[in-house]
Amino acid sequence: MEAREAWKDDESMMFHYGFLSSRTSATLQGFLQNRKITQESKSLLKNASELLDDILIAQRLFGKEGYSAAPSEEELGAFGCALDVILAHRSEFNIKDIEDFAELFTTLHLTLQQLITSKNGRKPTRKDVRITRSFFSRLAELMLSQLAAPVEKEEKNF
Amino acid sequence: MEDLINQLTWQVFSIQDIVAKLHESRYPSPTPLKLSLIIKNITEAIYQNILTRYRTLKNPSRDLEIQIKLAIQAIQRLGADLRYVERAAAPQTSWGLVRTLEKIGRKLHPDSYFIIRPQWHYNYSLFERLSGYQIRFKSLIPKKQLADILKFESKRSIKKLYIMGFPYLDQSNILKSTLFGHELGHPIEKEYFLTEDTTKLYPELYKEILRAYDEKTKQTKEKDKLIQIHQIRQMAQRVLRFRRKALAELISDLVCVNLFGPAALFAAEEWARGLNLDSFEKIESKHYPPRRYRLRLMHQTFLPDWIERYIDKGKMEEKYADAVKSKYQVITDIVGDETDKRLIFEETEIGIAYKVIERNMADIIEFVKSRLAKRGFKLDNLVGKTNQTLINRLENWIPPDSFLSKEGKDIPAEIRSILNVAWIVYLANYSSITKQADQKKIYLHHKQVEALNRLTLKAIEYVDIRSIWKQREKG
Repeated sequence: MEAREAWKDDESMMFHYGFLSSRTSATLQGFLQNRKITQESKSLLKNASELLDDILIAQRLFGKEGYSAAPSEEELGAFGCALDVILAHRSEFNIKDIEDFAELFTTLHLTLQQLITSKNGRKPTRKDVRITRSFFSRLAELMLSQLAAPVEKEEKNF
Repeated sequence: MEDLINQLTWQVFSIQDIVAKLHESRYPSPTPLKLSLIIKNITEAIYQNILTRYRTLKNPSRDLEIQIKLAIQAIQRLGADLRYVERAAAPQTSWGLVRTLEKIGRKLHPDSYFIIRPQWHYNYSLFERLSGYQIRFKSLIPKKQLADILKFESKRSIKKLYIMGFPYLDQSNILKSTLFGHELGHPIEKEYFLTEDTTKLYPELYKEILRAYDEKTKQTKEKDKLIQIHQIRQMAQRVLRFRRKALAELISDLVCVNLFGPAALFAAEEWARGLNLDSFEKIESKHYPPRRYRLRLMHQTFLPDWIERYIDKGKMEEKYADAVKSKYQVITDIVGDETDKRLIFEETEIGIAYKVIERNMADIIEFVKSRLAKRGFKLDNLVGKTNQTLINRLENWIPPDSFLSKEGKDIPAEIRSILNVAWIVYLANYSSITKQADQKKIYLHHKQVEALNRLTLKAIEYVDIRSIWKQREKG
């Protein structure tokens, strides 16, 4: 077993997910308070939506598609982060299996899409925005805890 | 939150002070100071972004608190990167070698910049910094601002900035500098992964992984489905990581040996000698291929008839031809033992990774050769240019920086040939100390090897000076 999981070695991705998640969480909190999304925020939410795309692609490996889903390492890494969040807060997200997982993340993805494309279109429900916000807030906390943890670095040889 | 902002402010001003001090030193190229300015500007951009959000905040926010803490962590790491600038300062490194390696690096990887610096840890290394900064801060600093910070000359952005390290202990060991070839190979292995067709490869890999998981958990399958998925995902990530890391090292080894020829193989064998040839080195959750496995792949690059041509076309005298053949045979014997392979395939997850690697190895070898050839580097270019004339110069304590052609024309040597010639002279004269040698003989031996290294470096520096002079002549 590895001392640290593979995705945890990639600090750049952890910082990216950390900043992305905390800002997404703040943006969604802002929406809950004043029902507004700025143009700048939409750009941020697009990046967050791409993260959810990666997670959804990777979770297909554990569904009916099986090995033919063949996610990339990056997609698998994103899925790994999401799964760690879910496992740490199972009762909050109410996930028992991969079908529940897929359903949740489809909802999160749809929520962001509705916020990005909304003008006179459908707006997401407050419940969906809250749960989306909760996921990103938890993800930000996880990234911070990983980055702030001291790591004993073993040095690389040629 | 005020104390966090105070902490952040202190760090930002500290970085500004350190960068100012770094500007007082001299460097072999402008690149180290450019890195320091990039770090300073990114730090200031992070600070301004956070400060703007802090000032507009109406109520305390856990989200902003997390962002500030992430920013503190990020700036600490940026500050730590300034050590690469400090160590690249002029007295620490040989200008001639640095400039020459930078030239090879730029020829192999256009639009790239290099910082070369010694490190106390016994290690050769290379990593790229700017792509990491782009990923880290793309959700914090606006795109255009980040792009402007990364501009090297006024019109272009730096594509890549590579930081190369070599051990202080080897500062005078110029023969070992062929190992830089491996480091210059790392950008190429990354290119390989970008061009790799995973549409067939990954389903195969995942099929094996799922099969291996079922086999492993036949008796003790986890009942909780989500935990099961977690375990499979961990296993998949490990296998992918084993494969990626193994290939990264193997591709870089192929680049090294195609760049620097037999000199690279000899240096790799000398490095491996002090280690266990068959174990996986585990560094930060990554497994590096066994040394023997790596040597075997490098050794396979030279078929026996290539070595014969290398000797014949170089018109090498018997003493030197024997030294080359003898060393090649030693390595042939080392790689003939397949203990490393047995150990690899005894481990399920590592075995899956290497099975796939070996299936695609012929394509990988072709990829490397073709990539190097596109930038003008062919292994065969060493044949004839590594020759007895250069060897004679070195044997007579003259830097082997040029040789006379048949027509009497003075031909400058390339660094690749210079290093090969140095290795041949070393192998012929100095590669071992007998048991009977007393302290005086050992000291003399060391001094002779030191002189050999100095002459080799001198040759490299002369070739560099020649090319600068030629460029200036052209105007």
